[in-house]
Amino acid sequence: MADTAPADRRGGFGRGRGRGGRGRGRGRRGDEKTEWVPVTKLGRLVKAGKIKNMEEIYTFSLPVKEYQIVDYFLPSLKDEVMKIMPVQKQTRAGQRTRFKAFVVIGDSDGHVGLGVKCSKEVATAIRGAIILAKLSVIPVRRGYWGTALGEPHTVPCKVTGKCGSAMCRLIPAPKGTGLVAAPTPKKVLQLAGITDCYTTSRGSTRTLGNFVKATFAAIGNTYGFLTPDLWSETEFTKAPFQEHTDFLAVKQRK
Amino acid sequence: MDDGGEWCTVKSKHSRNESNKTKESSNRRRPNKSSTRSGTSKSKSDVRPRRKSQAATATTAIGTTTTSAKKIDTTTAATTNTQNPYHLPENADDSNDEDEEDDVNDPINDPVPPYHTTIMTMCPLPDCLSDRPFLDTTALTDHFKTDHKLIFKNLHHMYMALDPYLKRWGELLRSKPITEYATPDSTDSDVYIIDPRKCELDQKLRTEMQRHALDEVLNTQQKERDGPAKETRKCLFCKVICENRTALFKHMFGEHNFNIGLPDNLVNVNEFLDLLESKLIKLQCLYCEKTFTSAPVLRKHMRKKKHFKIAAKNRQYDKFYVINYLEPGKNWEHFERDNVESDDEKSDASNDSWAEWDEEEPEVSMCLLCPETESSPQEAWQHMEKKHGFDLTRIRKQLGLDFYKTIVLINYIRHQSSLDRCFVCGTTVEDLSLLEKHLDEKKCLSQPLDSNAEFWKDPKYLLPTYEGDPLLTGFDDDSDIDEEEDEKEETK
Repeated sequence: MADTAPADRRGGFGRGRGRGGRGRGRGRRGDEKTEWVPVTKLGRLVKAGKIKNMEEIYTFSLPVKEYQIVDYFLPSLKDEVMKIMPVQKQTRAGQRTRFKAFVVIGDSDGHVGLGVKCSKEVATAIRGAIILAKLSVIPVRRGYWGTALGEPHTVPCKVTGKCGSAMCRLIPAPKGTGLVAAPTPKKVLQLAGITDCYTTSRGSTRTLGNFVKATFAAIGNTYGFLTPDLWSETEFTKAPFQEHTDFLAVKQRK
Repeated sequence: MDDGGEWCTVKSKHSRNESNKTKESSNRRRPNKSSTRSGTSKSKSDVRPRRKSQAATATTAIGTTTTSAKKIDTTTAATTNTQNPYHLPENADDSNDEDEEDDVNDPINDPVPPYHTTIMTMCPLPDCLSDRPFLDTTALTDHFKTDHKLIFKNLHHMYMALDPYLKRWGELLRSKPITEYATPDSTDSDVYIIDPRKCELDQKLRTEMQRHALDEVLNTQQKERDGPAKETRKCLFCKVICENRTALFKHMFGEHNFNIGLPDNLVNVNEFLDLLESKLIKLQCLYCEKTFTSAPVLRKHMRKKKHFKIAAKNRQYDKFYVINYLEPGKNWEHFERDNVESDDEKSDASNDSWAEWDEEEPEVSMCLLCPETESSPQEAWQHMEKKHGFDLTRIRKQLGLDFYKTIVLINYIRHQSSLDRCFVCGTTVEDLSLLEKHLDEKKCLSQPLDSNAEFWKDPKYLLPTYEGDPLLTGFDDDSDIDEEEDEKEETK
């Protein structure tokens, strides 16, 4: 039975409990698939397909400012809301409380990101945090514990990360160990795609926020560690902006 | 709540009268209509036996008095509509049904006392004579004023956490006389006012209750996100089954233009959807709250008037929206007006700070040598040192254990203890709690462990004996780090 009214957007949002309304995300079917119009140079290159994968962006340490770029290369990212907490700020007109959402995102295969956003509504905070998490996606290097059999499953070496006074250390583990970690950092490691790992922590792990960030920093350091197999000389290639400069020079039609 | 979804008990009699007035007036004005109706029903009687019976009972209802009409109305509803009117098997075109009156006021628009909403609570104050629970807030405030000579200032601020708030006040008033907290009313000196601005205790109490309610709601929401949100549910307006909550809301918005907000902003969503469904089953329109005679009439009404929304003014829905718990006294209407964020809010540094997440995660860890548990691994190590004399740092230094060897040791001890065996000498005791005595007697822990024992090389001890054993993550791994720092200093 088709009870669809030809909804005009204002009618859908203005009346009734349009909590998700006001155009902030709860669009009609068509709106959700609205074309992405890139604003940054990198975005334009990605949309045109000039960049093959996310790793090219990482090689040149290009800052990613549009989350659609990450969506384009990593469509299978899964997000998880770790915590929603109310935070208060003292203003002249009294206390102002808002919701703060902590989100971790990852594809369980080598990419992970963290995001935090504060807002009046829970849904807005979560959405904003997911976008920030996508912008902070980082590659994860995995290695082997003993013999190089099968797929890499653990961190390649002992890495450590620090945030505030919380320090987190990741240590390689044999296959089958699983993730030996506190419940919250465990989620981050799972979404990163690390299957086996030991962890130890120091400092005030009570501040879970700093502890999670420390784990994230440790995961990020996996690609910052120079191991002998990376000793070979790199052949330098042109940076994307240099290589495609002609394409970028063409002025975009507004 | 027993009232079965009627949004306030005051209204119920009123709305029933309204709908009956509708029927009777329509009857008077259009007598032909009813005859044509029965005519058509008779002609189609062979094809649709159910419709005929519905039409027949309806025509008899119109002719009779108000009270019996009410009765028949409800029986009709009971027999034909115990399920969602939108889930009934397909009926053909229902355009022959009677039109509703357009010039009668919708029950939702009837005036109502301010902040009126349904609740179910007993009066907790001492020396209270009423023993029945109160079903709406106006009755409760009136009772306080007349029977207890008490007014709570801005009680509507606390409707989200009304029960615990009133209970606390009940206790407080039992212990001390009312004049300690309240000031007499200026107009009527017999009545006392409890004002949060004047009474500090009240203010503290309110913020505490508010905070508590908010935390509870957020916890419930988090649990929902992990569990019930992933369950399948049938759409309220059609027979499509949606695989999880996000898909359900998307479908209801996309197909039926039904918007009750994003699922992330709601709490107790299953209860909410059940409440809406019960209203539909009672043949009540969700938006204007009018009751109808049959399912096709209701469907037609909602489709024509585009009433696929919920009544915004109905405060019964307030408790399902998280934003209402945010600040006392401000509900979603307040925030809707206030939708422009000031600049200093956006550039606030603490906006992105992770350090604000200050929470202790309890990791219950069991002692290696006895069945006692502690709330964190650090405490467990302290317990072992104090009670059993088992000092891990000393053993590590003694045997020169690095990280992996320590892991092996812990897993080995766990394994042995699970078999009720002493890990040093290998003797079995009857029960883990007796192991402590054995260690005391034989002084096993003061003997140095054999560095050449078989278990050091056994790969199975690299895997955790207990899954999620917090002791493996919670021992102080100072030694490796100190070594690195020493090396750095030496090379300088």
